[in-house]
Amino acid sequence: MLAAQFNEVWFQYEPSGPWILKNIRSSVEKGEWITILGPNGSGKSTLSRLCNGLFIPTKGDVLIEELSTKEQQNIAEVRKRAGMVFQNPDHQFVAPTVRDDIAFGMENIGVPREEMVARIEAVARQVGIQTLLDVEPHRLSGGQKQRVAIAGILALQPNMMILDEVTSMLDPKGKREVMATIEQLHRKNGVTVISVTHHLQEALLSDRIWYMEAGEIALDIPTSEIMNYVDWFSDKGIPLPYAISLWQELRDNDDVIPTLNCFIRENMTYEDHV
Amino acid sequence: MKITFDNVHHIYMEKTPFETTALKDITVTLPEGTCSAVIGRTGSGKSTLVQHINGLLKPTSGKVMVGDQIIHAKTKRKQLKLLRRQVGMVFQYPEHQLFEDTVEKDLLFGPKNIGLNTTKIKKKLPELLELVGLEPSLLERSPFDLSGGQMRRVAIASVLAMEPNVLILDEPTAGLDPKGQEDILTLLKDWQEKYQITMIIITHQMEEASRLAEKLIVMDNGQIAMEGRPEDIYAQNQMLQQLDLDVPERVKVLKYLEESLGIRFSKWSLTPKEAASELNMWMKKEKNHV
Repeated sequence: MLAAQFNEVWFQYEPSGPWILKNIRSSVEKGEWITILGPNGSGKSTLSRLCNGLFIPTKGDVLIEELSTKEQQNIAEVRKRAGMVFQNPDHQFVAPTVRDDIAFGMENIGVPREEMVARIEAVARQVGIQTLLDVEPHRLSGGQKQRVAIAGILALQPNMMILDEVTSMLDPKGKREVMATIEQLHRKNGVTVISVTHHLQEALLSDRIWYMEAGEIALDIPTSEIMNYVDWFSDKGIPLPYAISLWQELRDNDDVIPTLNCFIRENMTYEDHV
Repeated sequence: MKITFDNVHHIYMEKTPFETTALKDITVTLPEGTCSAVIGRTGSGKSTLVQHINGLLKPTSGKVMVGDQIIHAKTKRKQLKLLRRQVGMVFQYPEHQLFEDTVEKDLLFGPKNIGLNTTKIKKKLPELLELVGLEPSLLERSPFDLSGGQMRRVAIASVLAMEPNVLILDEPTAGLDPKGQEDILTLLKDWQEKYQITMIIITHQMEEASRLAEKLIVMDNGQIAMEGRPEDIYAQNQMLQQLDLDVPERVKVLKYLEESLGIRFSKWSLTPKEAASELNMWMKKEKNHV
């Protein structure tokens, strides 16, 4: 079963407005990590919001594990299976403590109390916030807030997480913490991830990259082929990480490239750097 | 204007159960006409420090000198009026403070507020907008119709409209996409070079600090942990890690190559092109030796 399918998806905000998404045809495998890159206004956030029924396609269908988001009766189930975390860590809290905040989503779907307590403990451990459960959310750092938001989603035991620029407002430490959390959930728990970002560095760990432009997926490649597209990315004005930019300059220099490759490989992962 | 902190302490909520020492024993000079960057993790005292420069906060003890004005615990509010005119402050996410129905009105709000001649400033607005990379035709538009990056530039321009001698910016590129960040950095660099004002930016990003600033001040737990030229600060890898700060990726890559290949780069600020040409030259020399 595919985690998500986009069947000739078109989207516009208003009936006479411009097409924000144009004929998206693609799919996401179970357990896959897709990174969506692209300039502002290319439709990448809109596409991510179609994945849990926040937006409904104007034409075509979005299927989450074969459930169409167009059917109103599927929406609750879709949101349980595909959880979404947003950019601004301050806009996602509803409760006075971290524990209550994680419980909020579960209350909504009617999880029994004992089960809730157990799940809160489990997800807090998973994202490394076990000591913060009784803290007021506004006292947390940005990175901690985003991990609490992720924990709130995980408590609903989704198969897929959709992350819309979740690190863009964090300091370097917060960024590393959140990326390491995502990395671990993907690798150890097999969670399907769709992450929207502006940073090529954050794409290196994912399985596939979609580059969006003017409402279309202009490039869809396995991340392992990224080095063949370095020129393509720099032509599009995407800032390259320094190491990749240097690689681009030196690619014919066999004395240096192996060392540079080592550096790039070692610096892909976040888990070791927290 | 030269800015000097002389033995400054700041205590929030003094003599209450919530008393916290936010600044301890700060003595530092920010040279006139250059850009300094203040870095440090969340809660290290960066914002508290800069808020002393325009008198938003007064030292609990010690004194701050901005040009020839002195701010200490007993300085009266009235005496700070002149200071507020000379020191412009751009807060975090300044676009949240836009509120007028046209860009022009928003740009004039600050100057009017501090009693400047608005007819004169009004004439200069098209030029100001161009300087921050916006079309003068935007003056009649609502600021809320603009993109995030454009709103940020309008908000910065609204402070620049007061023609401050000292400009303080709290994380001016936070939350923007890479292109938006680049635009803001270029705009600030150009403005600083053109008007030679004293600029202070707060940032989390080493990369950004090194692009703009000649002097870095690293804060930790209310104190100055390091200060000096960016190059000298990058050299102290371990110390930076302890402070949760990232050595810029550029420096990481170059250091890694130096250690693995046994070579030396001329400096840490090389562009990828420059670094590549140094590497190629070095490899050629090495081969000739063999």
